[in-house]
Amino acid sequence: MKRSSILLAVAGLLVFWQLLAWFIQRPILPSPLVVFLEFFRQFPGPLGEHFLYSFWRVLASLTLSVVFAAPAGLVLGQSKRWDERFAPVIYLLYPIPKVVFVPIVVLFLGINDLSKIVMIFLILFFQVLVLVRDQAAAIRPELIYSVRSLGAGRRALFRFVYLPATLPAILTAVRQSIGTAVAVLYIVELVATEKGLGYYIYLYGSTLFDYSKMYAGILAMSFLGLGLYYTADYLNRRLCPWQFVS
Amino acid sequence: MIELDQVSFSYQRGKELFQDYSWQVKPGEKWAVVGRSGCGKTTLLYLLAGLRFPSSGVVKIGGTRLTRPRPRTGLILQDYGLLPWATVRENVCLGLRMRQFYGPDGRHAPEDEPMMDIQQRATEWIDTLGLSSVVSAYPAQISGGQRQRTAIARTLALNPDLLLMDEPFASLDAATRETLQFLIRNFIQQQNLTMILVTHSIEEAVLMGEKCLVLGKTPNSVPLVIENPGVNRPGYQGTPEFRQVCERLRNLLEASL
Repeated sequence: MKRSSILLAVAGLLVFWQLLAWFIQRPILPSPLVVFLEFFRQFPGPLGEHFLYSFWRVLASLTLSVVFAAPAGLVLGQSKRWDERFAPVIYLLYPIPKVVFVPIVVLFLGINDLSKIVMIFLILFFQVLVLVRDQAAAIRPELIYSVRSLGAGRRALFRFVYLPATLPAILTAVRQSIGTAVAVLYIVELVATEKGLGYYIYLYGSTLFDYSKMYAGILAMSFLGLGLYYTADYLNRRLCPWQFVS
Repeated sequence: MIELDQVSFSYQRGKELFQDYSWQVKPGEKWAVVGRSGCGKTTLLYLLAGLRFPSSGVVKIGGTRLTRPRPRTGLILQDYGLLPWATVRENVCLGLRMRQFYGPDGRHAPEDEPMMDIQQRATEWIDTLGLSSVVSAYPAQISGGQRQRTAIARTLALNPDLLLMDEPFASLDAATRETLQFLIRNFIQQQNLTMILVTHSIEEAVLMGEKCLVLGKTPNSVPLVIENPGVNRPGYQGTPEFRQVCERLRNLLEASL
């Protein structure tokens, strides 16, 4: 995508928002100008702090899920026997909307950061696992044979074959699940916390009825999602250039 | 050089491909292995490469029993041997980097091979095989012939004394195939390498191998060999003798089914 077309899309959305605000004429939809001004006022202050809490939670769960799911996916993708054993389990667990486990996780892990991180982790884990497994299963045995014939042992195979072969799957999984991760972040931050963008949005939207602050929070949450998405996208292009040649 | 002693092999849920199979190859010999698909050609090559192991019997190379791929054995496969995420240059460097990664430990790399400048050595082979115009391309961006040249460069850069090839020319067009056959033949001749070439083409077998091993109905238990002493004569392909050997090979193949 060209930068100019992205800017054009942003401008289009802002115009649409402005028109909608003029049309509705209610405090519940302030104009984009008011919201952005509020955002820039709040972000160096309390909003920034809430943002950092949310950012840390998503980042921690992303990291955890990659650390646990990528090696597991690699093993399942490379070993038919293990995959046959675990595929039904994954098949059953994968489609369950993990959000329904919020009360259970909170019950077991308590009202703290850990339960929130674990909740997001649960969702990301399966996405990364399934994508990495499929990618690892697609590695041709001939490739492994010929690299082993060049002298590769376990360590070199990991370094020269498995890691580069599964990196795109990891980054794709991360990119695809960021939307879900941020959505779940919002939900877990509604429960028993006083920090985080979810709390901030809910507080100003439903308790204090300060709508421009609420929208500033929504903006911050959007930027969090967008930022993570484009970071994953950038890393993908940077680390896996072979995927982007014609 | 190669010694198979009473080797038996079958895949987990398959019929036996080899049964008490014994076969010897002397250093410097050039063998072609022919047979229909499913007769065990590729399996034989994997046994020699140390990538598969017999259920009974012993595979020895250079007097040592194989328990893992041997550093001085080069393996070239028909397809899928290149890393799709690495450029031509990186692929050519791969084996050399591997040796640097482990050092000359005698398991992953030969003990007596001096460490060399990877880039310089890769460049030599890239030039020899005419790949300099595509060094920074990825395998998906180049032709089948260039991919196979890359695989050859990668293997030969490691200075092997035994070259195992599995249908290395099968997916190439006629002109490219002839050029590469010629190139490999000359190189093997010059360096006096031992060669095992697996092919399904009778003509290629007679063109490349001074001896042809025929694999037939499984399980293979006795090596069927056709001598092909004329192989090094220039212009051999046009001679009546070439056609004669092809004919004999064809008959043996059909009789062995």
